[in-house]
Amino acid sequence: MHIPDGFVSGPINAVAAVASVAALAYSLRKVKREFKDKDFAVPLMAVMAAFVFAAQMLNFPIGGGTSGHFLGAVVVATLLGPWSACIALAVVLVIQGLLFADGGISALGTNILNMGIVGGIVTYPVMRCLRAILPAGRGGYLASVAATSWFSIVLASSVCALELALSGTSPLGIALPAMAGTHALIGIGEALITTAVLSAVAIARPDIIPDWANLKVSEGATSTLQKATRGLTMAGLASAVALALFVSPFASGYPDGLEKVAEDKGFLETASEDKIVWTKSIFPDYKVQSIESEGPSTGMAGLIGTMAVFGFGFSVIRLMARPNIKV
Amino acid sequence: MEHGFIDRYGNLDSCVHRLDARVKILSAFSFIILAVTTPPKHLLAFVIYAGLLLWTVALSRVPLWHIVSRAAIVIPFSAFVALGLPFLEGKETVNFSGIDLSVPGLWLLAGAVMKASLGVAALVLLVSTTPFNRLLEGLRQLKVPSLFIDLLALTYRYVFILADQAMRLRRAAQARGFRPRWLPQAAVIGRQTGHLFVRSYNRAERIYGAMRLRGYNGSMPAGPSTALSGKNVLVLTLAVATLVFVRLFAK
Repeated sequence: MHIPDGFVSGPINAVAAVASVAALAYSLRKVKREFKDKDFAVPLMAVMAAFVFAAQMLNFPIGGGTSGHFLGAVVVATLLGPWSACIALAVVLVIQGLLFADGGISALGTNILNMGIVGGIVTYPVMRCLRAILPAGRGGYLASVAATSWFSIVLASSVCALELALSGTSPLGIALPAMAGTHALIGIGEALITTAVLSAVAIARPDIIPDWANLKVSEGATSTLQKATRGLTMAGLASAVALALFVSPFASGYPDGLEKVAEDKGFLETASEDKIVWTKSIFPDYKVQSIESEGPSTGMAGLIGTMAVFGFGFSVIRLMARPNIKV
Repeated sequence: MEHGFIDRYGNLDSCVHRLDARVKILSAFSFIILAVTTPPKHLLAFVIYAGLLLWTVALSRVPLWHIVSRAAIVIPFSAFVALGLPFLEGKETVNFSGIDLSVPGLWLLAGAVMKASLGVAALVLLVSTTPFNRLLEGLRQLKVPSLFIDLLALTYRYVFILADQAMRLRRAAQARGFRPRWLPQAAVIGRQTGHLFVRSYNRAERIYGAMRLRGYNGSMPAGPSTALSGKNVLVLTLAVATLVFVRLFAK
């Protein structure tokens, strides 16, 4: 993902360089100000950057003789915050660029944008949101970190593909699937390594894992967060069911936007009800056929649909929350 | 320190090594910026850039092979771009083993490869003729914020130690027969990385303690800023003027 000189156009490099300098200046100020022991910031950031550099040397196999390497943005972001992650990655990229010519100097801003800003800062809110919806305890925390680290790799590589396409170097139709596809695999390696690092930290240095990680499940009683989540879920479900049961029967009988366009453009006929799949749907026109009267029938269809969507969503989230991670 | 491949020829002695770091940084950066903005069809300009670079390499006594071998880093990216090449628009096409390739597309690829190789070569030459601490001192005098320079200096210091540690972990696993072939085996590398992280964090705390004991209060002492000598100014002006001239007039 380290872009060399000459592959991304001048304007994109210039805009990315300005964005990177601004993000770095802001991050440095933030880190200096918010660190509990503010003088510790410089040596800690430096050693973290050196760690990321060294960890990137430990290649992992992808299969078929190819290998990928760790990026490390999410590890630093989850333990020390997004600003520290941006700084550490930028320092690593500058050192790699200067010492190994890995990533061009004219593309340095673009590389910092992709890996430091996108990989470290942009994905951070995603991680916090995932953490909030997953259950308390180590499993939930590791699952949210694993998903975020996979996402950080895929997102960073997609942005890289977008920059190449905007520069006219490679068409988006080729660059995006090629970059995102290979990095979807590399991302699995990233997720495995990130999870393993945090498991090690949880055992050896639990004190540096931030409070929001919510590692402890209090015995007997459910935690406040869990109670709050459960309350929120129930309130949401109740309001959805109420809407489905009592409001949907009064929903407008007029065609919706798409139906309107279809009517105007004359392709609604081609979708006439005796010809195509719609009729084979369980609830044609959102009615339960065995119930004769109009209002309750629509309400019933709404209720069943709402419960089905909730059941599906809930099981997907539960499956994500309890992955088989060996600690 | 086992990583001789980092900072390898910085301590040789030649007229290029003796130049002020600022002169070399500014010349290398303007070389890269000018080369990157040159249109791919100005082949003469690229030939002259390469010639100037080779001449400087000869003056610096850095082995040419060292610089050429580093340029290989450009290959994966070029291959990736070449993948999209048959699909680029273009009226003119050449037939290459059954595939019609657009001529503008080929120019695009050739331009990118030339620019990337020149960029890598210029940078490798810069770090092969300037020890890293002097490079950082040069950047500090060119008004890069001190905080960032301190970060780079400390990182560089600990890259050697942590890279050694990572390589020892890898060797230990290899000695026990670990030959990873498939993605799920990344979990083992994950455990190595976790180990490395915990040790790095503990090390950071010890380093900070040691720095505090020696009076560290948030910034490193910096050397005095010196003015560039006349000879250095002359070299810098000549280098930049030549490069701008080539960029504008060689087609």
